[in-house]
Amino acid sequence: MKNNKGLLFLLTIAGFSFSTSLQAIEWEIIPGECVVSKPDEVCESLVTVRLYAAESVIRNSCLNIDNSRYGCFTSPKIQLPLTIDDDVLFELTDKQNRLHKRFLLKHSVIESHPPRRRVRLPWSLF
Amino acid sequence: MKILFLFFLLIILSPLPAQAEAPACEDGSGCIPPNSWQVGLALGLGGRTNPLVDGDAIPYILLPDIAWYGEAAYFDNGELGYQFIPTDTFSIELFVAPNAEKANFSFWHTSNILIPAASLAADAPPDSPQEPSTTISVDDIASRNWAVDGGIRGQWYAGNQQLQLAIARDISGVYSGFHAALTYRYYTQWKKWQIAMSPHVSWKSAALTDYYYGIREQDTATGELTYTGRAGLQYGVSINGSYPLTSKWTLLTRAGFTRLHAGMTDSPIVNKDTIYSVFTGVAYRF
Repeated sequence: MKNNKGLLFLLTIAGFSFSTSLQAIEWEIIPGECVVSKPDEVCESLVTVRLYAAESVIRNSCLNIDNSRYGCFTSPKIQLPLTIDDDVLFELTDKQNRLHKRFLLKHSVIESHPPRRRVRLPWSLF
Repeated sequence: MKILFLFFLLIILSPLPAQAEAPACEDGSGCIPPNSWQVGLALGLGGRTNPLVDGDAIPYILLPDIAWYGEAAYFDNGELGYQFIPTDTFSIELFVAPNAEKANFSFWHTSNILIPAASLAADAPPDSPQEPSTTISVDDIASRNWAVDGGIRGQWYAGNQQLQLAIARDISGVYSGFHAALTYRYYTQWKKWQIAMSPHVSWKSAALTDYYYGIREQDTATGELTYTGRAGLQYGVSINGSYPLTSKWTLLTRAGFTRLHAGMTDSPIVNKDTIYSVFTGVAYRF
């Protein structure tokens, strides 16, 4: 697994959608995507999850990463170092584990060189 | 023959639709990521007829598929080349490749496989004291050598159509001649079958035809059998089909024919005017 921090695109994904809960909450995850040129490349990043909500709502919010509880918010911002070698699922829940928001941080492979056409038909040795 | 020429004429005169986009180049469908290999092996049953007198058909049991493509250079099933400015609609390449004409003479010839010494002896003119024969077979003549060609090829792509024009010459000093080929290819899909139909016409120079199919003094003691090959045009069609079974396994089938030109078929060493080939099998991509 090769590190390729240089290829990490710091895309901001802001959760400006309305919450399904009665208490409005918005969130922002930076970076929003890990873009690499080869499938085996990874992004090593300090991911920031920031909540925009009332203090009481924030203190009742927790973060799940890939379906595992990472921790609960004591302040509007959590920073966590991640090695991203695959898509990462972020879920925002309350302490009763009710889901409020989810976001998929994608590990995207962008071909730096497009495929080439073969000059001969495959299997045309003879 | 005239119908085929009209067909090609129509293709050439009708401009390839400029707006048509070439199909997306996908790995496994005739495309390859740069700086990578494609290696596969097909196992099946088939063969290619041999137009020579007493020439053995070439069996197709195992078909390898070996290709490497870099940023511009490539190796594709025996052909080594360099591609200039490949785009979605056009490419031009310089290439070096073995000339396949020799395959008719010795590719699977049993004397070359089982008794190498006998094939060396075949280089010498027959010195039998018997009466001169009125026929001649591939077993009687001096061996022909493999030649290596160098050439240039242009390819145009438009939608599911492809046009290919290539010209090559002997760079190994074996036959000192030229050949050229114009191939049209139409790709289509039927259910999961990917099908390529390829009518083609090719021209072979007198030097090429004469080296392989001419009959000279070292080939026969019978003067009336000597023959000088002439240039000519030949044509044919091939159809290739592939059906993906899994990401690694593919069902392959292909069939084709090539109608040989008179400058070749008039040779006493040639007794068929058409080469047929067929193969069906399963292929595994490593």
